Amino acid sequence: MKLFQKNNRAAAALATVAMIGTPALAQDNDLKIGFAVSLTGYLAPYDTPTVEGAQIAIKELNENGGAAGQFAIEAMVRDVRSDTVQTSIVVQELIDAGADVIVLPCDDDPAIAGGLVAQDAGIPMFSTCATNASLTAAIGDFYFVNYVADIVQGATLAQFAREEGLSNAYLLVSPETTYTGNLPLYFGEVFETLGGSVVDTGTYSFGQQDFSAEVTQIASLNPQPDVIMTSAYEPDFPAFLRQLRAAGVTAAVYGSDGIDSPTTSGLGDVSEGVVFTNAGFPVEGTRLAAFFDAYAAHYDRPLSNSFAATGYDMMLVISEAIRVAGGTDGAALRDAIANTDGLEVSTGEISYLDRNRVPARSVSLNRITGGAITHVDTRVIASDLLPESK
Amino acid sequence: MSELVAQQVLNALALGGVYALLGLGLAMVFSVLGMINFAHGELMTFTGYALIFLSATLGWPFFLAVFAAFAVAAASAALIERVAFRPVRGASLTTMLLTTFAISSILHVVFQNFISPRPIAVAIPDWLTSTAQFSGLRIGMLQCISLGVTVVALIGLTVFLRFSITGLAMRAAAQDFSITRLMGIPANRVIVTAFAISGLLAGLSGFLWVAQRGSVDPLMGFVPVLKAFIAVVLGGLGSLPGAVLGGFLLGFLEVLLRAMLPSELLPFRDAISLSIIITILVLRPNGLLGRAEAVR
Amino acid sequence: MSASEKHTTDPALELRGVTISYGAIRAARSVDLTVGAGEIVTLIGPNGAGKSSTLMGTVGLAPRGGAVLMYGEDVSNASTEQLVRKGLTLSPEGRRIFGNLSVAENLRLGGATARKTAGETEERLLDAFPKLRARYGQQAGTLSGGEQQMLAIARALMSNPSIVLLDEPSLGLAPKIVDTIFETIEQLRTWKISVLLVEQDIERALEVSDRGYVMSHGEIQMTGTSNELLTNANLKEMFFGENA
Repeated sequence: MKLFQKNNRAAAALATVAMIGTPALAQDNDLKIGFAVSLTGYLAPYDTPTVEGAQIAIKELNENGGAAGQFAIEAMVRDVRSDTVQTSIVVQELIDAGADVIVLPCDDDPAIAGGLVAQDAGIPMFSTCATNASLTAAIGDFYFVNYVADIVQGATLAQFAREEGLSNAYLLVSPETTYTGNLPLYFGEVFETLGGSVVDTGTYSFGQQDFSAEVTQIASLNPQPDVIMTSAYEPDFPAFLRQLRAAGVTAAVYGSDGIDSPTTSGLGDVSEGVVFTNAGFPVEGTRLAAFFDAYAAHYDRPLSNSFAATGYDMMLVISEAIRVAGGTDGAALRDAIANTDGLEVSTGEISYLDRNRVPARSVSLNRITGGAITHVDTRVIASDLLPESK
Repeated sequence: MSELVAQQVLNALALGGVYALLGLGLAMVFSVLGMINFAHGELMTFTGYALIFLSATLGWPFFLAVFAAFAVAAASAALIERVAFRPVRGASLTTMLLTTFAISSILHVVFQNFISPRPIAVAIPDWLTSTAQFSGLRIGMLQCISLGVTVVALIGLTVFLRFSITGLAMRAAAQDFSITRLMGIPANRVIVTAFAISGLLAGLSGFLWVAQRGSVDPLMGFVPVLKAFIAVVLGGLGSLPGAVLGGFLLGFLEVLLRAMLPSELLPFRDAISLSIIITILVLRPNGLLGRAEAVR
Repeated sequence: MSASEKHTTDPALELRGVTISYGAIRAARSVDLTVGAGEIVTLIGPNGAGKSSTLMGTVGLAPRGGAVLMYGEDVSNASTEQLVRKGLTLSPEGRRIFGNLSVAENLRLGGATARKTAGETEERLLDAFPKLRARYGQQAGTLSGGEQQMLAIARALMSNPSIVLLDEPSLGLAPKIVDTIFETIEQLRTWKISVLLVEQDIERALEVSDRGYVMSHGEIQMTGTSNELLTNANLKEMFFGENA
């Protein structure tokens, strides 16, 4: 087996030599970004806008000479159909096609499958919006979290809930993904650190639709919780919220960016007062608002969530890293990304420096009032409040 | 405490009713073609989109839009039969099953690319999601409607199956399709009717499903069709009353487990409910109301 | 077209070179057979000779080649349901009544193509089979074997057919019930229904019929009047020597 690996490496080395040998100087001046993302399947609602946002950044950068003003960017977008195995195959194809940076789907399993391939090849990578900080350990030192991490969202929400004077929390989790399973627990941990208490934790399954049993139990809890925190998203969240309100439970409901969707605000009275975090709110006059306008102009339809903005930001991070590294070499690029500090992007500032490849980026706290999303606050949580990622 | 039990029983009845409608839709087609139509869930999705299009885009009154959406569901089921299933009729069961999967994935992609990969919100009138309080018992409007729709659909279907020639032929076809043709009843009529009724049932359950979740997304049909499949197998493949019984049983099982299990066991409740169902199937391999004679 | 004249002279049912094949297996090969108007014709042969396949193929329920004619009209391309509407029907082997339907529902389905006369026909049949009247509302699956056979025949007759194919109507029944069945077959003659009968009870079948065909290995081996076949030495050896 070892011998085989050795041979394999020798062959790869030979191939590299052969490639360098051919007059391919043009390659040095372009940046190929391989998108192994889900344009179909259950991750499409998240990956698609992220890629759309990235495309806007690529277009803008290319109009100004490319990444760092000199590397023409080529986007290679391939559909992995929300499938884990397909992701690792596509990542390999993209690497074979010369990708310098890889973008992975929004969920842990496909991100890990594709990430391990890119890690082996020594190519820096991001997931569109996988928010599990543990992926940096599961994949390796070439993997960077792009979106707001679960620990950050959980802690920010808990801090805000305590500020609002809420003290008894009920957590609703689903062990089906780390996002829905752990984020509420991070919330609970920080909530208790800050003096609140968790009265009970319930479980749901994806797509169960019917929450009558859970809701009946919540309604009969003593003491009644004054905040209910869940990372459930569509279709579970709207169904849960409706049935919860129908059961006469008036506790505040806190959610995470999974409910950053027009459906949530379109629910009518039941969604009044729901608080959730996301990567950014387009407050008028900000750079993010300008990006929302650019998106609407480019795609001829309004942007309805912040995924596109973080896709846009990702490209800015890459462009800056190329400038620092002076080229597309994998290891140099990795180090340059890891040292990103206080870079101005559409959603605010982003830093990877000393954060173990989980970015410090601003989080927006939003509340639904009168059927619309209103901005409450934007903050960067202090790192000493962050819980350990599970 | 007894109020809590009564409340959970009511919850179980309402959920079971939706599963029963779903199961019945699958069983209807199974009884004439001997095949589970896995594209059934996409008919629900389609109902949802039709509802949005008619009520939000065209501005029809909600009720009118709902009934029109039912008609759309029934018609598209019949259309799918004509376009996709008739050409492969008489082919092996595997071919037919693959065809249902193919239709399901084609519709997914069509929904994602031509409508939206994101969920679209459905404006459900407030009264539909309101609740009333009766001596400690909380009765949701939607729960009542679920139960009402289930009861009306079951009665209507029973009358149809008992008293109309086509209905009789469908029950006969469930048992012996070729001899049903020997009664001079065109195979196509029986099959198209079965699909249309199955589509109508998908429309009814699709509406109830969408009303509860508040949005339509391209993949929303997957979970319900899975539940319906479990209900149908539990009740006995090919038995229409079995599908109804299986649906209600599944609803009860799910709600009661969720209500009664201690919280540390909660994550395992799907595993527990499936284990109970498998145990039932081990004891009764043909399902609760499955006919042993079906193995002729 | 001199259709009306033809109808009186042409046989009620004619098979020309009928072949039944299931994939590579040929159950029947170029079968030529006629049933005259008002005639009772028996098709006999050992198990697996292809008799049932021939009947199923005739009504379009088995893959068939060759031609089928009814009263001189070529109906080879007609579907099962069209054939039934034209007056051809089959009481299949093993009865295959709808066990989950009541006796009444079975009869109603049988009369689906002749709804106007269904009430009348049903009365006549219930007179002929008083046991079915007694079990009218009962689930057909709970009937005894003999009652199920009567129901199968009655169900076939509900469509007011002019030609009936009967497949093994006496199989597995008690002698007294077999008597009733054969009485019914004879009665069909008075109702001017042409009959093609497949039977294991060769002697009784030939006694009630006008002519007969002998089939084995998927082919017609011999034909003649019932009397000729009853006294044929070869035939006796073939069945009573080998099979009995």
